[in-house]
Amino acid sequence: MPTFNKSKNRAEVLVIGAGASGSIASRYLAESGFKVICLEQGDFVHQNEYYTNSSGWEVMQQSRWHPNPNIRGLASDYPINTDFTDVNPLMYNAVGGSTIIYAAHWHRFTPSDFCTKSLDGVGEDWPIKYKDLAPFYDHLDIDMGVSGLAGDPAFPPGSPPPLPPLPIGKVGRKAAEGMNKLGWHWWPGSQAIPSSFYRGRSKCTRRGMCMSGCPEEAKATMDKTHWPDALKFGAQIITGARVRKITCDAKGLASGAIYIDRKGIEHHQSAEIVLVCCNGIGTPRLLLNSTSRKFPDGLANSSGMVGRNLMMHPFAAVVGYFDDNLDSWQGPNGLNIYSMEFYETDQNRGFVRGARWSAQGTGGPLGLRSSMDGRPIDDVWGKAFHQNTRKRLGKSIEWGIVAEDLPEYENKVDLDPNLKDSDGIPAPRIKYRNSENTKKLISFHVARAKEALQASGAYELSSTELMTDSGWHLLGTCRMGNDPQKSVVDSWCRSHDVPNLFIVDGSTFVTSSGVNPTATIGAISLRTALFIIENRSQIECSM
Amino acid sequence: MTENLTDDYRENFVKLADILIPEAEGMPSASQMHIQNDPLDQILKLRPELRDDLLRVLNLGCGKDPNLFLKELYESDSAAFDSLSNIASAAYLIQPKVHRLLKYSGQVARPSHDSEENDYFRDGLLQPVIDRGRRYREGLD
Ligand SMILES: Cc1cc2nc3c(=O)[nH]c(=O)nc-3n(C[C@H](O)[C@H](O)[C@H](O)COP(=O)(O)OP(=O)(O)OC[C@H]3O[C@@H](n4cnc5c(N)ncnc54)[C@H](O)[C@@H]3O)c2cc1C
Ligand code: SF4
Repeated sequence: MPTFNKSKNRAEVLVIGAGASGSIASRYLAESGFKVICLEQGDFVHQNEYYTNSSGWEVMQQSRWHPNPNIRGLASDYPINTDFTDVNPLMYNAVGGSTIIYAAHWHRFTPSDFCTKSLDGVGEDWPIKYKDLAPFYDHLDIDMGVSGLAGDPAFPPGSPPPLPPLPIGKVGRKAAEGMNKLGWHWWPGSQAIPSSFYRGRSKCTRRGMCMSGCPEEAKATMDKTHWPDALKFGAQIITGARVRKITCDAKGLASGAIYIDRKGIEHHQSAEIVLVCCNGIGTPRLLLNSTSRKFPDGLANSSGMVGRNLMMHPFAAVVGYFDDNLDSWQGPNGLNIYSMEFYETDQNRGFVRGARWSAQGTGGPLGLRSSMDGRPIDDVWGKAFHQNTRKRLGKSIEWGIVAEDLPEYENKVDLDPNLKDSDGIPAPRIKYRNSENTKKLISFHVARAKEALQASGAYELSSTELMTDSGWHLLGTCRMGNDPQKSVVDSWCRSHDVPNLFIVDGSTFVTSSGVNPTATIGAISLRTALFIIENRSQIECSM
Repeated sequence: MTENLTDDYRENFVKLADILIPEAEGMPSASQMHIQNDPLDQILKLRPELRDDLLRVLNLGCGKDPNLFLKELYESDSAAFDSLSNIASAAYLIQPKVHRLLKYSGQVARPSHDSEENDYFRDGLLQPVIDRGRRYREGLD
């Protein structure tokens, strides 16, 4: 039985999870004088853990740097039951969270993303609008050192990103030529990756290893962009601290959290305000594990919506093969140009909502092989091994399709009755199926992306309508809303049930949009941090 | 830990690997690249968790016709087949000589040049998109 240490070091704000959302909130709360303590189950990743050697890098992408925690299985990871899902959830558990391995595509929502119910009769409207987040998007662009080109007609006008875009490369140009032939939208990539030296971070050298950690200290990850300042302003971070339960007092206010350190010792960290930032899987898991007599169904769950409406942006890909050398292993990963041509709803297509596309290279020789899984043996091995490698390596372009999946009540995270993590804490179980709308949406987009690559001159195409390991974006499981019966938090991300409990990660999303979510997660986190700063005296706290 | 991979195991491994990666299309075979020696050790050092599956495959395949055995393995034990083929392809594709033959530079640092920046403005590639004008949909703001 572990010992139970009661902490005297009370936090004004206890932040649980040091990923994208937790890091941003910690930094700004600490700057305005709050005593911030952050509990993170992972560690700081040291620069020497990243691979610079290209061969070792590709091999390790299949294990230690795999984005699926079930395959990676590090001490900081927890297992997830994925027996009932079409898409595997992906993440990284460390200071910086999943940004350690994200591709850093940096996109805002569009105005229509906040009101799918009113515009298209599906999902729900958000209780906030584009203009509520716009100043926070601008602010974070500067924090992150976003490289991009202002003036994209697919987004409302706003402040330009602080850095010019990264070059679109041969891949981007070839893809753009096809889009121009068809009269379709495209724009140079927008990334939280500096195109020149920025606030102590290097200029991107295009090594293309972004999704197993940037060895050049270029990519914006929160351990580099927000933690140095957070620590300078006095925030404390306890790593290797896995939170088992958020505790409450007799009045039902959050009073802190119980965490287990790497030696298996339990501690209680007391706090006046608790901010949950564990992502769209980790947050509902923690709330569902935080049962008490007052909250028998889990904390903040009087609506029964904790864990419901999981959205993961199912991902489809179309690859085109070209005769020319396109240097398609060159980085950064995943986004030379993007397209919003089919982003907005057109009812004539037989489905609603849309997807953003990103044109990208196809990576190194070993990574290319993963797309061959499941094909007949003679199509992949023997002579075909050499033919396929030569055909793809350096000479192929992928249009990646980030499909907007809509909130579905039955798509959910709950607790697995048997599976537990290494500390004996019940693990999450995912149930996620693509809806008919999503399937139609993907088929339509795959067909259009094939046309685009043909227009670019591809002599052959291949496609994947659903990539199983593509749950990069974990959204919707503690949705925001004005109605306490249909949502978990209000428009300021404060729990309807527990007034000193806030949730600021991707689980608060009402709908998923069709763009990568971290700019929006960050904007929401920053907005909530400012709300807490400005309304501190009105937030009732546990004594 | 690779010390008890005997020469026999290594020979059996490369016999199977040669079927997966033969000499063809101007490329050398697995055995011509000696993947059963240092490259195999390198991969098993990086991914020791594959070792048990590899030994299982090599034990199962011992004394069988390698072609038939591989086909059988592919049908009946895809996890073991994947381990074998992952090790073989990784041990082959990590080698600098193979990179040279494939004209693959590796994931080297290639900082951009000024000439690459904004090239789409210089030759007008982006202009049609700008000319078509605004395309986002208003929300309820
Ligand atoms: C491979 C990959 C590529 C991606 N690419 C992009 C991209 O290009 N653009 C984009 O916008 N987004 C991308 N994403 C998504 C992006 O990384 C996430 O949206 C973002 O990091 C989510 O922020 P978060 O704060 O919600 O959660 P996370 O960043 O996942 O952080 C959650 C943190 O909470 C910690 N935690 C969880 N449970 C506990 C507990 N019980 N106790 C203590 N600590 C806990 C975890 O260890 C983790 O560090 C990508 C993700 C992946 C995996
Ligand atoms: S391409 Fe740029 S961001 Fe990606 S790993 Fe290389 S230097 Fe880092």
